[in-house]
Amino acid sequence: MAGIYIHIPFCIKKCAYCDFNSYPDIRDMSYSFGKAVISEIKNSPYKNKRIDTVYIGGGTPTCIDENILIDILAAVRESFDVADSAEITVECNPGTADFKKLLALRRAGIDRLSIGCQSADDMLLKKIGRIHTFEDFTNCFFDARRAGFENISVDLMFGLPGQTSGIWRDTLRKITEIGPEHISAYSLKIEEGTPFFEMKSRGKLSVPDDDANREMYDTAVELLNDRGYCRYEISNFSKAGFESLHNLIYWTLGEYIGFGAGAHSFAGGRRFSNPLGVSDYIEFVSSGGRAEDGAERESETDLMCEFMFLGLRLDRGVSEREFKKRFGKDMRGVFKKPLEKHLNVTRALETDGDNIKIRPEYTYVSNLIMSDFIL
Amino acid sequence: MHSRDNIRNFSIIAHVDHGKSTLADRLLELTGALTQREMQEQILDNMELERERGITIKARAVRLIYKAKDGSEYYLNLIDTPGHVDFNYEVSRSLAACEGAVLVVDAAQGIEAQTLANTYLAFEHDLEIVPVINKIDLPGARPDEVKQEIEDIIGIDGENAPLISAKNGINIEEVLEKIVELIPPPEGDEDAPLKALIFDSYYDAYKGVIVYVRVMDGSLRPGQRIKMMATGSEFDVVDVGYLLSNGMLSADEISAGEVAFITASIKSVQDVKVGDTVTTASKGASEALPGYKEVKSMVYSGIYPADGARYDDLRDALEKLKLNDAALNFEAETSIALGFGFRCGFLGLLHMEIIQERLEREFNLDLVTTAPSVEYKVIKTDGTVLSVDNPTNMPEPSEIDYMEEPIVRAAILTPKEYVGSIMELCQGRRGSYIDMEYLDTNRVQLNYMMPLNEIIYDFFDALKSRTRGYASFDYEFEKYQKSELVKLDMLLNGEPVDALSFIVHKERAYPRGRKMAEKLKEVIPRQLFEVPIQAAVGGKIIARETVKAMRKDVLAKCYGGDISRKRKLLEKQKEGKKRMRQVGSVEVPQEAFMSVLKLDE
Repeated sequence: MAGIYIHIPFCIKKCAYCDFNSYPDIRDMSYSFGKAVISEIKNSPYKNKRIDTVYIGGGTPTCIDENILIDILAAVRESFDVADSAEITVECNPGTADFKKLLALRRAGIDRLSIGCQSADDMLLKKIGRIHTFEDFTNCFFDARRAGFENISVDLMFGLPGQTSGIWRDTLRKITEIGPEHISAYSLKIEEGTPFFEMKSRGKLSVPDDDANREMYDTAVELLNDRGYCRYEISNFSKAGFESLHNLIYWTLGEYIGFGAGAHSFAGGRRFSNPLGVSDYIEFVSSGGRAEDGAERESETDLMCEFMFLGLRLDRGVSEREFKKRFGKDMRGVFKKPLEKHLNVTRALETDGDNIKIRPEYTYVSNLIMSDFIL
Repeated sequence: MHSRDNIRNFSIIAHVDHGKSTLADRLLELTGALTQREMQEQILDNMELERERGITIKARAVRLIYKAKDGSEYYLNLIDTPGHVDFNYEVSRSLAACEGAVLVVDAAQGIEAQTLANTYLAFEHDLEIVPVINKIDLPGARPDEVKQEIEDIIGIDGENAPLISAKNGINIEEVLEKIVELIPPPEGDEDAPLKALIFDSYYDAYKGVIVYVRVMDGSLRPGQRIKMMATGSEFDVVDVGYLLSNGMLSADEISAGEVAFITASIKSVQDVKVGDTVTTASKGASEALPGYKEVKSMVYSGIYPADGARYDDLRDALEKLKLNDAALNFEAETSIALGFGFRCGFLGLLHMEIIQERLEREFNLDLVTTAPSVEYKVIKTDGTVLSVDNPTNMPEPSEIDYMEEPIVRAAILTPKEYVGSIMELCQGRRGSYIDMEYLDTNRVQLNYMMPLNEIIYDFFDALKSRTRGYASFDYEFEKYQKSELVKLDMLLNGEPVDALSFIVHKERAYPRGRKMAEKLKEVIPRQLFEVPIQAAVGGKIIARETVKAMRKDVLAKCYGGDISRKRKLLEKQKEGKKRMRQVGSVEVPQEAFMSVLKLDE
């Protein structure tokens, strides 16, 4: 499987926790940005590659003229061999996409929508700097349904300042009642350079401690499971058959080609990324720059490590057969020490047929395990 | 061959930092033994570590030629002595090779514990003491008071002591004049059978062991066969001669009164024991010189490579160090927690630290060391006596009749305002008070009998912090004494960790076990599961702490496939784990094994 990622670095307003590559107030640059992306796609050295997933993320892709997105998608189809059954996702925030816009996107062949809801509590939404209310979200969700989206994912956050387990449980209940096909539940991480980071370092922000955070996570896993959403990755839950194919590419060392500002790629054994800033990116593309130039091929050891620490994020774990097929080596030999340690001594890993996976109770401390797989 | 009247054999004695090495350098410089360029390095303290710590570990000797004001030329043999209590025996042998000693006293700090200890040693050998007051140009200098101290405390005339600055080269010549004037020339019978005192040795890859001796009686030439009187080993002499600052000067013969070297293709320093007497194999002396002692380790500790694969490197390194350090003992041992390593015996704590640091620096080894232990005597119910320096080897309580532990006589010099605080400290360490002497109006010497195993746990640190660094401390072995000792085991996740066990007095087991459990709780990071820490004596749990399970250590999603950020985080975490030891199912930081030393009691 291979995918394409397109990064749209625009939004209406930065959320208080956001350290993504996204800029408010320069949406007037979106047209020239779109042109640059199309030019980058058309000149891609990976042209005509078979593509199974396309993911348009941000920022907020829906905060710009939908025709830009539609044109970009058309360019992708023109330059690549996009499968008929391909999963094509666009990210969307409530308040930036009305029914008309959603319908246009759906008609352009986008079949999956990922909506950033984060919480069902309006007070919390305000506190973390979201521009919408929960009602805005439900309106957006049902508009999307009416526009024909049958595969919708909803992003939620926990561990938010002032969030109680009651509020979190309430959000989970409300969302599962609305019934998207896919739910991502992320713990808030306070990143340097964000307003939250500033507030925290001045002691003006208090978030639930690790114990409370863990409790919220466990609540999500349990409640979602009860309502038919299986966890398939640390933070991702879906109804049967609705796992995000695009994200699975990341976790299984599949190839992906990134277009747009700051987009990351993994292709031809190399990892590389585009310039972050919008103008820098446009300039880079127009001067014929190519991100893969100068990128070094990853060593086999690095790839094997990635195979492990990315694959172990998945509930199904890593396949020994797959490993052998890919590297021509035995996983049990290459990772003898960490496998013995965690299969036999700590027993944080278990085998399941051909697969080795993290026991569910250790998913939330998986760094302790994964770091042993760095060789 | 020189006229004995023109020879002076002397040492310099001082407290750490009072400027012994600097004075030695100045003497060398002034007698032309050193060029300015060579002066950049302190010749006598030629190990990097010694320079950094400002102490001399191994004795060295050098001959200086000085033309005195009386017009004659003198051969001054300077025998440098180690400045620390751990090396007391070596100091005593160096002093036995001399007729006099230059006593360096810091003009600001005055007389300290080691000044006194070394001066007493010099008195024991009937040495002529030449007092010198150093650092005279420092703002805090109080030469008149220090002169008075020398008279009051040591009981020698301090009035004519040269006031010098070794650092800035003030009045150095006066020191040389005093050496010539006050220190008597050596005596001895050139025609008597050879008696040469070994005061040091050095391993040279080409010549074998170079033996430093003071010839007391008789003479020696190359080709003669010599015998070490204590060990009985015999060798054919290859070369004899004198020790100069820039190397060795061969001679046809060395004779009574001289300080000299001998080489005889000796392969191991074990054959050359400091304090032993060298004589000729035929028609040798019937009686050895007095004072020889077998050097005994006082402190033991397990030394393990942090990376088990470097076990052989560690052994090679220890063997190399042992070439020049007869006091270092080691034998292979195995720990369940730490794998393959060595049980090492040291003269004392400083010696231990020096060896550990040299292993890490000079041989680039990463070490895990276990808490130091002393040597206990276990008298078993069947009457046999067992020496135990490793808690792991302690027999079952049912097999033990009783145990004995080493007791030292400790002397602490302190400004009087700290007396109460020091007494409290010593009593807390099971010390028994002997007496207290007023050295002058301000300072006292406190004498205690103390179990050595109480000193090897952070006693120095505790003493320093209680006296703001003003107290100084010295000790010597006194005796073995019956004591109620128990083995304290630490259990992690229910499993005893051998490398964390130690032997402790029964009364101290509970508080120490509790402290130890608390300390381990601090240093052991949260893990995948809850880790109980228990302290146990004879199977009975006396303290318990818990390291809670890690609740959250996870990476959120990777935005747009940015894997490298994730990777960096995991790499950092992995790097942190390198300082960890997997002990059973628990990851223990290597510092934990030394943490018993820092219990802040």
